Formats: sequence, C-alpha cells, structure tokens
Amino acid sequence: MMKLKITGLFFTAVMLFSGCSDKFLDLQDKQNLTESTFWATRQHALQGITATYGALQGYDGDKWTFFEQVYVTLAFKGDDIDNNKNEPYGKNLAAFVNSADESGPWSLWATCYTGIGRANQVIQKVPGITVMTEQERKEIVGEAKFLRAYNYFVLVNGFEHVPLVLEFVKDLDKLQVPQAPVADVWAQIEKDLTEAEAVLPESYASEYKGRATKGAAKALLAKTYLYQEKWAQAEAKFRELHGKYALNANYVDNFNGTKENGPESIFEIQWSGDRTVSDERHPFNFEGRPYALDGWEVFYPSDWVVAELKKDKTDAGEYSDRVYGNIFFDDPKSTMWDLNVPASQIPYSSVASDLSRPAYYNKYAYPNDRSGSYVGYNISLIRYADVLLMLAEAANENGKTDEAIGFVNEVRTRSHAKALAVGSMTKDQLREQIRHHERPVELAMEFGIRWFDLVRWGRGNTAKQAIKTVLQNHGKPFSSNYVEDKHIRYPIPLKEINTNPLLKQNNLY
Amino acid sequence: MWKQLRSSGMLLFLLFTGLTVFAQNANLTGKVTDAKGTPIPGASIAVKNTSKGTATDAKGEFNLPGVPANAILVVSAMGYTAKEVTPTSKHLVIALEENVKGLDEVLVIGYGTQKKGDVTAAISSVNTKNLEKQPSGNIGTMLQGQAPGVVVSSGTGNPSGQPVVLIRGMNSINNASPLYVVDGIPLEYAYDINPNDVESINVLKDASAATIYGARAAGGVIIITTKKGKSGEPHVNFSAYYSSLHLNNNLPLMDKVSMNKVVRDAFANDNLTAPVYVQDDSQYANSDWVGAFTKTGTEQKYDVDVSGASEKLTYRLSYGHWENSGTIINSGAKRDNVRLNSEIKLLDSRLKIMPIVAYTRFNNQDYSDVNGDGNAGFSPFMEVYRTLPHKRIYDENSPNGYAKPEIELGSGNPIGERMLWNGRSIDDYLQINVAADLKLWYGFSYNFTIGKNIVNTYSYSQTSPFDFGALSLVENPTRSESRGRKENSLYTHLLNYEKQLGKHNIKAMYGFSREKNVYQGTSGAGNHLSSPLIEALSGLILEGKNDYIRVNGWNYGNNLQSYFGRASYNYDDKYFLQGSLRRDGSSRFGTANRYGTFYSVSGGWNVHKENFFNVPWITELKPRFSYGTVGNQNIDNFQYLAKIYLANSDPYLNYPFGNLPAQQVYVGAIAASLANNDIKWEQTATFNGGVNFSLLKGTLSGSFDYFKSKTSDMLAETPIPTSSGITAMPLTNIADMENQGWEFTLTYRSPANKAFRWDVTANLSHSRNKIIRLGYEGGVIADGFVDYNNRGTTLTKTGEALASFYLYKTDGLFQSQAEIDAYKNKAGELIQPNAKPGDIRFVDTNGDGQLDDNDKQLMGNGLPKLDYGLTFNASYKNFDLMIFLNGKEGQKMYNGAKMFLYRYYRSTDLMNAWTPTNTNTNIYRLSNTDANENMRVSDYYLEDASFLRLRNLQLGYTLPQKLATTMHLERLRIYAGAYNLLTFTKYTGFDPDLSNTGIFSRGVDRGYYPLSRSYVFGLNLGF
Repeated sequence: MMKLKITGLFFTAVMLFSGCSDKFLDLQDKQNLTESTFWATRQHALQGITATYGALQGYDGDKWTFFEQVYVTLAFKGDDIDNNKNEPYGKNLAAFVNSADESGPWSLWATCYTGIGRANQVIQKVPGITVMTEQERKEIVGEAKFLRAYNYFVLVNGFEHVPLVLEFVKDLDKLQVPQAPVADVWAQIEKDLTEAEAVLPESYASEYKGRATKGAAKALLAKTYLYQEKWAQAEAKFRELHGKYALNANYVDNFNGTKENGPESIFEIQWSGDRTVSDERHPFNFEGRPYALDGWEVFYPSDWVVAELKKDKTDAGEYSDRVYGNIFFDDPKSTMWDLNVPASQIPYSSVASDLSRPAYYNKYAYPNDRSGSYVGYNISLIRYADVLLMLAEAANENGKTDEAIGFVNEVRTRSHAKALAVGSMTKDQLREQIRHHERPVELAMEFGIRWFDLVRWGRGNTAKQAIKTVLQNHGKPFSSNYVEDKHIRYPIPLKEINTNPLLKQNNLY
Repeated sequence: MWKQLRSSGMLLFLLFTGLTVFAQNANLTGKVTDAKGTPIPGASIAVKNTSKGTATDAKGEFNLPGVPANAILVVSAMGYTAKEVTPTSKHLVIALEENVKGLDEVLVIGYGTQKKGDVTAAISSVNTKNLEKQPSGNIGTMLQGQAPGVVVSSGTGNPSGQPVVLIRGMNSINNASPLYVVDGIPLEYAYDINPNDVESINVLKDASAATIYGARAAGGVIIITTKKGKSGEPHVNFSAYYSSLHLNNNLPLMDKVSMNKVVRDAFANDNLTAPVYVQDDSQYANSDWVGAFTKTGTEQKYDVDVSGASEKLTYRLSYGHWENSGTIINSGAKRDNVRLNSEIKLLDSRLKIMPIVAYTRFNNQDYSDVNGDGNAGFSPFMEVYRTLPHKRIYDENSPNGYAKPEIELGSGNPIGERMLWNGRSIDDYLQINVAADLKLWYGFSYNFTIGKNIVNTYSYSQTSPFDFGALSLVENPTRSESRGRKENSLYTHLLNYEKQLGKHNIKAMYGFSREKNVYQGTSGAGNHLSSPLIEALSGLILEGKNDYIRVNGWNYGNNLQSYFGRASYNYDDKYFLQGSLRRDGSSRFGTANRYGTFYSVSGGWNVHKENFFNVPWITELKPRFSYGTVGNQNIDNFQYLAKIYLANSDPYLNYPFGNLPAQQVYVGAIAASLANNDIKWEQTATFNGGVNFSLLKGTLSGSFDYFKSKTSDMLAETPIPTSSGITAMPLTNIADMENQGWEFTLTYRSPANKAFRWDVTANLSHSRNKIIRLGYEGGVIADGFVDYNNRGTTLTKTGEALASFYLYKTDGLFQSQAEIDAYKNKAGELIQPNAKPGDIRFVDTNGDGQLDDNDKQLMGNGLPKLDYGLTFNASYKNFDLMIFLNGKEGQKMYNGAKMFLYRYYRSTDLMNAWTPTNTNTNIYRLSNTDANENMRVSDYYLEDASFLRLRNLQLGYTLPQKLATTMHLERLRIYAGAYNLLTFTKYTGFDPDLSNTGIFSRGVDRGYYPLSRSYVFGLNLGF
C-alpha cells in the first residue's frame, strides 16, 4: 500500500515536471511600440515626419557624425577648404587617396538612405491614418517626398550610381537592390519635388517653422534642373522665387542664429540650443577656429579662397562685408568671437602672435548664449543668395547676361561689394565670375555647396571644366593625386558592396 | 509559476509524511582519524546503498544504530579519500588517508556530482589550493593559467575591471563568455563572489559535460561550489594580506624641451610653421601629467570565517573585505561579502536542506575604460599621456586649485577634470538559495532547488563647476543618478536514480527548471544643481533653455524553461557510457523557434582495470570520447518584433522646429531596425577525444584532450544594405565557424614522506578557429578601427580565423630619394609619389604597381597559439614556496597606443626619428602632414605579444605546531610575495595581455589601463 502511494506520488511529480505550459515564455515588450501598434494617430504621423527630418543631422542623429563624417565628406574635397593635415578627419578624401572603406562616404550614403527609408515609411503609412485631416496627411507626405528628393539629390551628385529605393522593405531577404540608371534617379527627384511643390504650404505657423515649404520645393526643383543643365526650366523655376524671399541686411545674420528660418532662408537643417528635451546642438562654432581661440583647427580656408575673398571690395576699396563674415585674417577690422562667457569679439591683432595660419574661417564661429562648446544655430542648405546666384547662372546660360549681372549685384550689394557694371562682361566672363568668385566668396565652406558645384561643372556639357585643372589652378594640396574619372565620385562604400553584391563599384576604385 | 511552486512544496510535504521507519539491526560505535591518529570531526559514515548514515562529533566519534548485517560502511571526509569498511566489530577505528585528489574525488558537474574516475567528459578541476595563494579579489583573474583550455586575459589593470575568460578559445562570433553556475544557480557573472568562499571550481569544456546547460553552454560552463562547514567544534579561520601596487608605466614620454624640438622638426620637414608654444623652450610649465595622474596603490583583503558541524547541522559563516585603492587618482573599489552556508539533516539524514544566503556590497569609484568593437576610441589613459607638458596642472589662484591652460595650449586639464568629478556605484548582490535533497527508495532521490538572485545597483556622478578653457567647461554643478534592479528567480526539480546491479552501475537524472529574469530601473540627470553643496537630484533646477532635467528607465525581462536528463552506465567500473539531453524554451525567440534541443553522448574505458593490462608503472589509463551539442541564446529580447524607436534612443530621432536659435525640440519616432522573425538558436557541435593517465603510483598524472567543434547558425549582427534605410544591423543566424585544439595537463608530486616535498603542474592549450560561412558570398566584417571609424585593422572572412589582422606590409624606410624614384610600376609611375627619405616603404604585395587595399595581407590574430601555466609548490619543514608562471605564445597585438603617442608627439621614440644624419633607425621621419601615410594600418605597429609572466611568487612560513598550540592557535602562517613581478615579452606597449571585450577587435591595443606589480604580505590564522 505504502509503495503504491509512493509510486503514485512519483507519477504526480513527473506529471508536474512536464506539465508546464509555454505561456511562461510569452512576454510582452513593455518598452516599445511595434509596427502593428504604431502609425495609428496624428501624433504618430508627426513623430514619423520629425524623425525623417532628423536624418538631416546624420544617420544616427549624432552631432559628430554630422560634422566629422557628413560635412567633412561633402566639403573637404573642395578648393575652398584646406584641411589640417595632422587631423584624421577626411584626410584621405582631401588628399584624393581614399579607398572604398573610407568611413565618410559611407556615413554620407547611410545618412541619405536613412532619410529615404524614413520618408518611405511616412509615404506608405501616413495615408492610412484616418484620424487627421486629408490636407495634413497630404502635406506630411509632401514633406517626406521633399526630403526623399533632397537625399537622392545628394546621392546622385556624390555617388552618381545609386539604388533607387522607393519603398520601405522589411523582408531581410529582399534588401539588395541594384543601382538604377542615373536618369531614373534624376527623374524621380523631379517627380517627388513636383508632387511636393503641389501640396506643401507656403509657410508654417511659427512653432513649426523650418519644415519644408512650397518655396523650398521650388528651389530644390530649380536646382535639380540647373544640375542637369536644363537651363530654361531652371531659370523659369528660380524666377518663381525671385522677390518672394529677401536677403538679410547683414551677411553674417545667416550664420549667427539671429535670422533663423528668416527672410533669406529657404531650407535649413534645424539645430537648437534648447536642451530641455534633448541635445540638438552642433560643433561648427569651434571646429575651424584657431587653437588660440579654443578651436580645433580641423580645417582652414584655402589660400586661393582667401585671395579670392580679398578681391571682393566695396566702392571705397575696402573689403566687403562677406570678407569679414567669412574669414578671420590680418586686418584691423577682422574679428572673431571668443567662446568665453560672456563672449567678446577678439581682433586679429590681439591673437596674431599665437596663430600659425594667415586666415581662419569665422563663418558659424559664434558663441552660444551660455556655454561655448556647442551651438544650436541652424545650418543653411539653400538660402536666397544662393538662389539668386543660380538664377544668374541659368539666365546667363540662356543668353541673358546683363540681367544675370543684375541678380549677381543683388547679392554683392547686400555685402556692400561694388556692383558689377551691366554690360561689362561677356557670357563666358560672367560664367567664370560666378563659378570662381561669386559663388565661393558668397558661399565659402557652406554645407554641400562647393564640391557639388565643381562636380557639375566637371561633368556637364556647358563649358566643362576638368576638376583636376580647377584644383591645380587653385592650389589645392595633393591635387596631383586627383584622377579625373575617379575622384569626381565617392566610392560606393565597401561596407555597402560587401552586403549587396548587386552593386557595381564606381570607376577606378 | 509560483502557484506551481507552492504545489510542489505540498508535494515535498506529502513525501515527508510518506516516510517510514527502518527495521532495527546492529548498533555500531567508532572513531574516525587521519593517518597519524588525529580525530577527524564531521566525517560522514554511511551505510552503502541505503540512506542510513551519521557524522562524527568533535572528538571524531560516531554512533550509528540499526546497521544491518553484511552492511558496508562508506566513510568519507572533506580532504580525505573515502573508504569502504566492512564492520568487523561493534566498535571501529577507521583511519582515512589524506586526499591527493585521486580518482575518488567527487566533482560537481551540472545538476549532480560524479566521481572523478567515472568522468567521461572534458572537465577541468581547478586546484583551489593554488588559488588561495593568489593575492587577488577576483575569481576570474585567478583562473588564469590554472586549467588547460581556460584562457584568461587581464582586461585592464582597473581594480574593478573584469578579465576576459574564454574556454577553448573563440567558438562564436557572438558572445563567447562562459556560463557560471554558483551552487547550482546559473549566472552570467560571478565576480561578486569572494574567492575565499570557493570550495571548488570545475570547468565543463566539452558538450558531454555542458549539454546539461543547453542553450547557454556554448562558451563552456564554470561551476563554482562554495565552502561548507567541516568539523565538529566551531573553527575560526582568519586571513589577511596587504599589498602595494606599482603601476607598470613603461611608456616613457618626452618632456617639454624634447617635445618642442621634435614638433619643430616635424613642421620644418613640411616647410610649415610649428605652433607657437613649441617655439620658446623657456616658456610654459614642464608638467608630469602621468605622474600626477597615477599613484602607488594598495590592495587589502581580510577574511574571517567560522564553521562547524554537528550530526544534524553543518554551517559556515564568513565575512570578507577587499579593497583596492587603484593606481590612478580618485579611483578605487571595495567589496564586502557575507555568506552563510548551512546544511540541515532531518529524518535520519534522509532529508538534507541546504540554505545559502550570500550578500555582497560592491563600492566602486569608477574609471571607465574603452571597450568593445567598432569606433571604440582610445583609453582615457591615453588622453593623459598626450596632454601637453606645457600645461600647468595646479594653480593656487584658481577657485578649484587646478590650472586653466594658456589659451594657445587648448582646453582641458585631465587632473582637474577627474578630481572635480565624484562618481560611485554602490551595488548590492543578494543570493538566497535553498536546496532540499530527499532520499527516496529503490535508489531514487529527489532534489528541489529554489533560488533568488537580486542585484540592486545604484550609481551617482556629480561634477563641480570648472573652466579649463571653452571646450572643458562645466558652468554649473551637474548630477546624475541611476538605480536598477535585476531579479533572477529560478526553481529546479530533479529526480535522481542510482542503482548497482551486480557489476552494472546505473545513474539517471531527470529535471525541470524555470528561470525568470526581470530588469527594472530608473535614472535621472540634470546639468544645473542650485548649489555644489547639494548632493541630491532634488537640487536640480531649470533656469533657461540650456538647463535640462531628464529621466529614463527600463523594464524588461526574459524567461527560460527547460527539461533535461542524463543517464550514465558503467560496467564493473571499466566501461562507461553517458548520455544527456536538454530542451530549452526561451522567450527571446519567436514562437516558431522558441525551443532548442541539445544532446550529447560520451564513453570511457578504464584500460588499467582490465585483467589483460599489466603495466605496473601505469596506475590509470582511461581513454574517452564525447560528441554533442550546446547552444547560445545570448541576444537581446524581442529581436523578432518590428520595434518603433522613440526619442532619445540610438539613433536620435528628435528634431527642432520654430524660429529661434533655441527652438523647441520635437520628439521623433519611427522604425529604425528590422525584425528578424526567423531568429533561432546558435548551436555548437563538439567532438572531444581525450585520455586520463596516472603513472608511477600517481606521482605523475595528467590528461590530454583533443576537440573539434563546429558552430552553426551563429547569431551575429549582420550588415545589411544601408540602402534599406536601416543602419542598425539585425541579428541573424549568419555564420558558421570551426574551432579545434588540444589541451594537456601534467602534474608531478614528489613522494609524501620526505621533508622536502614539491609538486609541479603544467597546463598547455591550443586552439584555432576558422570562419566557414559568413552570411553572403564574399562577405567580410572589418573592425578594430584605430582612427574613429577609419583605419580598420582586422578582417573576419570565410576561410580565415576570426578577426585576423589585415594590414599593409612594410619594408623598412626609404633611405634616399633614389630609392623612392626606383620604386615604380611598369608605367614608370612612382608607387609612393608622396614619400620622402625616411618614410616607410609599403610593399605592393600583389605587384599591380599601385598601393591600395588589395595590398593588405592577413597577419595573424590576437588569440594565442599556445596558452600555458606552470605552478610549482614546494615545502621544506615549515617553509613553503609557490611559483606560478603563465604565458601566451603566438598572439599578435596591434600597438595602437604607440601610433597614438607618435601622432601626438609624446613618445620618446621620436627623438630617434630618421633624419639624413640619423639613418640607422627604424623610426620614420617626423612629418606633421604625414603625406606618405606612415600611420596607415601596417605591420609597423603590429607586434608579437607573446609573453611569459612570473605571475605569483610566494614564500610562506608556518609556525611550528607546538608554538602555535602554546599561543592557543591551531595554525599560523605568514607569507610574503610578489604578484606580476616579471614579464618577459617583446611587446613594447603597456602589457601584452590586456584585451578588451570586443570580439572583432581582440588584440587591438587602445592603451588600456596598465597592470600593476604588487608586493604582498599576508597571514593565515586558524583557531
């Protein structure tokens, strides 16, 4: 009897061991929403488009990625920049010896495709959110298309041969996409911008300033035409903006935060000094400034751009505002803000003995209202002065040289530079003036401008200029390393080719 | 879950009440002594094949009623060889031989024990006697060189740093860390344990041993059993040591004047103007930053325990205190341990209840070093090494006493920054563990274990305001705090069966366990305390848009549910066979792939027991084999769900809008990773063949093992095309790899009857791995970056070892322009057009006339080809000596620290740089521009990091017994020694054995916190 009892207990025990249910293994993720619970409310749509804008600050939203990788990659090959050779940032790119595993081009690639992937999510998901107005849905989708177009614009100019991804794919086995014909990418950019232009609002309420407007879509579309040398369409589209925006009275107000998203602003990457939610500041204020003013001296204005700037004079023969607004150099009126609290303007003469270079960029080198290390000032992507110069360029190519001089003079006179005399230049002279004086002097070191200008003039059909020749003429260090049909493009990042064997490496890499 | 626990408690109760009293028989009394006749208290006397038994009292005497006729008594005691006795009278005197770790030694294996002689698996048993003599507070560090196949790297010299422990090398590109099992409770981590509480450490290396831990055993299993009470009368042990720590700071730096010259030359060589601060040697300070940052440290450890045993109760209560002041300023760590282990015997010793309560307090003033793969940067140590000697350290006139650098020297004062920071972590570890063991009938027994491990962490960090230049500015006192808790709950049911039928010995076990982990926590931080006198988050204020107060938190968990069993059989102690099976279900995987099944079989043959075997000098010869599988589930939770990222996670998704410089920041959310619905277990299949042997009556013994494993479907972050819009790499079952190697251990013991006695143990092991599949055709993983995200030094690719160095080959320095001009391709173009005499010549290895990535070559890796340890113990009269050497052979190290100190003009090597008049040197010419890219990744910086280290040297003296007795002591031993005294190596960095936790950047030296040499004094006392 006892034995029976015990045997029975054993079986009970064994049953107990094995009778456990798998519910024990079903856990909920208490920390995150998932695809199936997101994209349900208006707030989700706004959060989604915010994150799509967020990719403008780099694929991981990190200020260092933005400066050390994205900016450096876009800027350091240009003839307006001389990098500090003892700093690793972009060193190989600037010396035209980079290989395909260089991190900068990968970061630029990743940043653009991160923006595209997010835009694709918004374009796919937001139309299904029914708890908001149709107009707002359309506007948000329009913003996503604008951002997608902007990212493809950077990709097609930087890498040229890129995959055209227009849908957010979640299946890990379907992520490998071949490169699209270059014409298809340009066509998609035009299509997205045309659709965005149609639905985007003229402006936003003050708390939402900085989102893409109808004007921003027009400007980028016109720039897209310009880059394809569709001169007539470019001129027409740029003209739609003429008089709709205005130049800031002070040149430097474009870089010191006082006129953020202001009259001259068409589209800017937004940054903020408000740290209550998260830190959205960037390090542009000290990357280029001299060691003696607490800078890192990561890059300098090239000797050529300094010389070109110094040609920019007023009627009285003084340097124009944009000379002082760009560089800190040996001149009694040249100053740079220090990073002390409170900050003050330091004359060049008082630190000259501690400087090892004749000139430094002081554009964007402004103090914050309190701590000097990072700043929240926006960084312009397209501003009205740029639009005027591009309009001038298109008009000149369309044979309207004198009218084009007028557009150039609008920009020059804002900085009190002496106006060019109407009728004083041939079409070719004005082209040269715009290419190698007006644009670099007005837009020196600005985000995404100079290198892409050199690229389009180097590959175009209108007065094509080999980049190597330009770089050599402008004394770019290591320009002898430049190989024309190689360095005009970034390499397709090795990491990307490693994961996507459908990709073909760019020529000669 | 707890409902079921309660019901199982009911079951236990029912089982108790089902017990009956045994038939009465003979009444035995007796005494158990050692070979010299000294009584052994606490020895156990059991009647074989029954549950009957008792233990000796303080005088070594016992009383055992009801012994059946023809019974065999099994007499055993800790530290002695067990003995079987057939009672010949009613009063017995039984003498036990001191244990020399023979075949009868019992090893703790997963969910049970096994006699060493019965083992068919590859299990290394660590001789804890050798550990006791190592002056260290960290059980992981102590394992170095102690068991073949257990490769320990020091991590860093940071007192709170953890070593990197690898069992049998690398067999996964995922997490290769071993599982720790402490008193039956599986843990990821066991460094909170006081080494003085450790009774035994067994390392399960092959699948046969480790399969029983299934899904977590791929990195091997380290089983730690803590000490229990031993003898009758309460017995007190006290031990203490004190050591002084001397940082091994072997990288000499230039002073200001030398540096000025080097920098001036470097700029002059480029025809550039050098920075103003190097121009005048009479200007500026000449500070020794490293000297001010480091200090002579001390390490102290005190342990006291009281233990005892009676017939019904065994106990041991211990307290330990360890502290290490660290060797850099404002750092240090302290640990306090309390442990109570007890065993209660009930129902005629049929039921044993073993409660364990252990508490650890860890108090750490942290120094965080760089870690992991990718863009890991350089150690903060290197930042101190590179600081300009021109900067002043202290300034009496500064409000905080530290100097603000002259503006042209740039921001920063690393001494001030460290001293004005105050941060600590204070962590509590609580382990409560109750095991109950009930002997049933017919050879069955039942074991129930319930355990809770609770870790409460608290840390804070507060910085006082300082101004060391605009980029090293803290305007207001800042503070952050974080509190977290981890709760691990576990229960296990085991049903054991053991039966002897003639010469057939059968042992079987079936078990079920459930484990639940919950992690919860909160953190808060702000950058403006209203006063530096306030040390609480309540003092945080918001005074404008630059100020912030942020909170964060976490709440997640994972569960594991497992069924497992093991059966072993032997015939006549000659032929052994064992099989194990485990089925694990884990919440980390989606429903389709939730369960994994792991199995193993093994066998052994005691050749020496065969009648035909007649080799008198071979005492033991046991070949054995095993084959089986283990798994790896060590991944984040919910990888199978498509997660939406929000706000402050990585990547940062927020973005501001508005028209002021301080715009409002809006919160972004979106999918920033891809789910992998198909994610499943990683599985490693291992074959192991080995032999145990013992020669010349056991004076020479050892074992040899060969293993070969294949890990399939390795879980790893898989690069996906970024054109997907996703940069986060999903975990997929991407790769397969092979790992093979061997291990050898040999011990010689001199005969025990001499005045001079000695023993020596050597351990040797070798392993090498090879990737056999990596996701996609031609896929590679580049890592080991030494320049932000650039200058990758390692490559992982199919057909090669994990993380092999992949570098340019150098061929000395160009001595003349003619040599540079002669180095050209077929088209007549210079291969190194930017080179100048004194620059490095890089080899165009593929001969295509261009120097590019295709010229890089694979050049070995950071894993040793041979890892070895040699322990020598000797005693003569009252003196004892221990020498412990360990070493690694054939490991490479990329000396990133050297590159770093060259770049920042700090290394004294640069004083011997190439110049037209100093050509007999291998230091390339000075150039600030480095147009030749001398700093590109090349074998110039790759060094052989083989080493042999005199790890421990200790001389002890034990007071003669008579003298001790007059002092009312049982034992007193004093000792002195040195730890890490000597290292023989060609490596020129800090240390050849520092390694980070990065799997893909192993062997990349980022200038980690170096080790210390220490001089130790200590004593052991018993009464």
